[in-house]
Amino acid sequence: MNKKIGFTCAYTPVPLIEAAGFSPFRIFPESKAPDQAGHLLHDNLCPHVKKVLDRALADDLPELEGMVFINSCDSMRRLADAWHEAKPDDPIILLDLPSGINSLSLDFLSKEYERLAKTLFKWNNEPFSTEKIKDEIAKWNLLAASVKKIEGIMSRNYFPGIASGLQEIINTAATDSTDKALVMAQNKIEPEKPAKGGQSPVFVFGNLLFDPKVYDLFEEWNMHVTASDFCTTSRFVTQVDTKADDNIFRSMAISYMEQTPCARTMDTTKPGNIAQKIVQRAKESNAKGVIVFTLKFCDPYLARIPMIRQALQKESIPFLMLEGDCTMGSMGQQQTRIEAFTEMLGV
Amino acid sequence: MMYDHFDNAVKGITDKLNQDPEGINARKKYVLELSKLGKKLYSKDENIAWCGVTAPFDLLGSMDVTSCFVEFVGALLSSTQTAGYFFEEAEDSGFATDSCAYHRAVMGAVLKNAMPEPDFIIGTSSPCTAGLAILENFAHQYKKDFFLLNVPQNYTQDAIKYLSSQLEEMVRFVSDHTKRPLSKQKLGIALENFNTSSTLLKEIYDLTKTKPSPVDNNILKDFGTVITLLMGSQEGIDICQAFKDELNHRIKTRRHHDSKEKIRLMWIQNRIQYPFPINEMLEDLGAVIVVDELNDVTWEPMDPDNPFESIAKRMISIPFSMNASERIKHLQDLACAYRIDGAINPCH
Amino acid sequence: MIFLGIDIGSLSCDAVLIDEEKNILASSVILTGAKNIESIARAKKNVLDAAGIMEKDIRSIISTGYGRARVKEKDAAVTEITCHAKGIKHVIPETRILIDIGGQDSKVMRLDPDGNVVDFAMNDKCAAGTGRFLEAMARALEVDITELGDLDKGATSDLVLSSMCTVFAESEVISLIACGTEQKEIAKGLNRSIAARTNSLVKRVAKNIDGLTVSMSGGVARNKGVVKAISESMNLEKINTPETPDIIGALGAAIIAFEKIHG
Repeated sequence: MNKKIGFTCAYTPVPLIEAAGFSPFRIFPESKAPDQAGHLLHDNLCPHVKKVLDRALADDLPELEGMVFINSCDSMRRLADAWHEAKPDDPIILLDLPSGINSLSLDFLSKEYERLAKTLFKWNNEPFSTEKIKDEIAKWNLLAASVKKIEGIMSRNYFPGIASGLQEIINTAATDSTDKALVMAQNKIEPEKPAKGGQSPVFVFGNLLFDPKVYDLFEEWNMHVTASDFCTTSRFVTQVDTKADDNIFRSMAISYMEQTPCARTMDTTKPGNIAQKIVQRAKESNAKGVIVFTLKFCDPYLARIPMIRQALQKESIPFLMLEGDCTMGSMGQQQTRIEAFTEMLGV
Repeated sequence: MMYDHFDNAVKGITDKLNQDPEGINARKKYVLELSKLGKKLYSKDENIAWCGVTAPFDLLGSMDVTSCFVEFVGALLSSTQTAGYFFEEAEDSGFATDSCAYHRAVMGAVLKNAMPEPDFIIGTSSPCTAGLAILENFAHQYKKDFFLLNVPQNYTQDAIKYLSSQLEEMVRFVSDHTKRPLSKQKLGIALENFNTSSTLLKEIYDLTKTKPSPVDNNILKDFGTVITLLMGSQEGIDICQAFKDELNHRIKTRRHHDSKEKIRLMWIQNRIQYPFPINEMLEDLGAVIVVDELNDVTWEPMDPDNPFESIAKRMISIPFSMNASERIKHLQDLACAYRIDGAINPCH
Repeated sequence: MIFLGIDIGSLSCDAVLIDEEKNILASSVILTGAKNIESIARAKKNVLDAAGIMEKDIRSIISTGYGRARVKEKDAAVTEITCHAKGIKHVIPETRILIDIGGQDSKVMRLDPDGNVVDFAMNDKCAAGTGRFLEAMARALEVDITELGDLDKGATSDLVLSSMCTVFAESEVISLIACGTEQKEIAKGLNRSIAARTNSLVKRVAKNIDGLTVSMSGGVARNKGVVKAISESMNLEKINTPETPDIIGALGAAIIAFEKIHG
């Protein structure tokens, strides 16, 4: 069993962790740990970050050899700060993630990814090896391709259980190993149950929705998830286009910046482009409606909701906004809204 | 409406200053300059850029661009008690009620098309993600070109190089819009002005350290952040000089001894903008805000021969935008230097 | 054939029986109380007794409201959002904006000419502006909840309650009483606060309500003061309220039961 490296953000390239001989361990905000984050962070802060910190404060984590933080948003920056207090002995690396996509930012991020790779190899006393990184990327890309195939099946027909099954695969890649996730994915490419009708096709997006049981609930509430865009679903399994650049780290930077459309990253030549991307994905997946699940206090998403709403309205695509902590605990509260939304959409 | 507001302010303050030509009146002169800036921002015949808080206003000024950060409007709406109307607009569109009030107000103004129309927008990734998101909305809603300055959090050589390259790109972006190239001479003057203003600022802050402090709770309110809008200009130097003169005058005339300073306070982050008598309440208790976190010179002098790197270093080295340990260290240093008894940290 | 709709809300449990022509045969509104299964049985018995009908004559049952899953004999459960829309379409067909303020939450729906929901907004995060909120305020004002509707008559000040959290608003009301503020002014202030909240919810589904008929359902629609304050805040001459606003959800459920059989 490899030693584990903790991380919290979808911009963390898992192949680098595995190439250095570690196992990835994404810290999901699921825990019965008591609410203690308020001792270190403001109460009006993203519940994802606070719950992850609760886990650290309550020692509700496996043994970690180090933590990788990305300063993707203010809350993530503060989490890295608080980690120093909560776990002063943990080795930590904080990567600077540019907000805009352009040649300079890609150069900068590629250096940051290289710094991460070298740090991880050093933490494991392993000689730095670009070959190992390339091998891991190849494996990761196989997983990404399998995930894409499953997503394609999801968007065409409603197969009960497929969405939660996909989430289990992705969670395995995030918290265990790409190899195991790959085996699971190859078994899932053929749906276990036949296609069914009678559900409302909905595209869901937002920050994170990681519990497979949530997707089963959605089905109970008459929803057919045609596609999803969360940092715990498609945004996490980013295909690395190795042909994008001769430098492997720049290829990674290009792939993560361009394919991982978290609201915090923008195409500066097209301000507000996230709204068009949401419309496009909803249409491509044959959805009749769109639901956003946002974490409370998540400025990057909340600030973009008005333009996303406008863009969807323009296309006459019904839109539902749900705010919470994106765990099963808060999902019950949303039942009436989701059911009413599917009743409104029809089949 | 806002143009009239600033126009009236300019006329009113000018009249008052004319009535007292010998007086120092630093705060009045400062508000006058800001009102003139406000007027320009709301007029239609200037190259206008709305920006993030940490944008290089001296560099933009040297390119004949009138620029300001959007939070200036948030503060203005708050102080004139008109923010509520814009909050509603933002909230009705799905912007969360518990988000930052500055940005909620600006977001409402953007959605209501009530912001003065810029020629282009320059976003900065620091100090916060919400500010950048609002600027993106602004550019989207008003269909304006957008330039993003990504300010790294870690102060490293790579980070400085990255930001200085972005500044060079920003100059090209601005030139494309204004159809005017950057004048090295003008930039040199702006940076010299900035350096002179910085020296004066240091002297001002040194004066405020004395015990009892010559400041009252209002004189340097929101000074450090807002003065950056003017520091590349002669007006900025004049304002800084006026503040220095006023504080020296207070010390000389021992006026500050009348303040009966019992408690010395530090204000963390920026002040409350809406009408709220906290300053008077504190004064009644003998408490004086002797230092604001953002009233400090945390940068090295600008090098006119190496302008972009100098500005990049200045932008990255603001402790408020760095990691918590750097910021805390800065606060500790201020606490010692100003010999404070306590601190106030508001939540906007 | 007879159709039954049951609406199990947090405060009241309502039942409506309709016939083949969608005529209301009987309705019942009782307090839900702590044991909602018993309330469901009682509400059902009330309408059956009142209409003189046997249970076996019921062709279809639709349940709605937050306790909709608890109705064992239901043929299907439908959300109160869809049911209120269906119910109001039956009694005020021209409705395009429907405000439903219930015991624990408030909702606003935008309807198309066929009574279908095309958008909705819901506040269920806190009790602000709901029936529970008004109950707490009536308690603070030491009046019966039924008296609250007329309590603001003759109020002239522009007082607005600054707190909308039930706990803080209750203490604000007590402070105002202690300062000698007249009951009618406080009641008006309360209504204005609820209206502001509701108006904000309306704007989320319709930025512009010009030319749209606005109606209100739910128990709070009986409170004339609140209805007036909402219409004032929306610059409307009038908000339509059905004769029996509290049974609109159950009525809609009964109509859906009818439509499930008749298509």
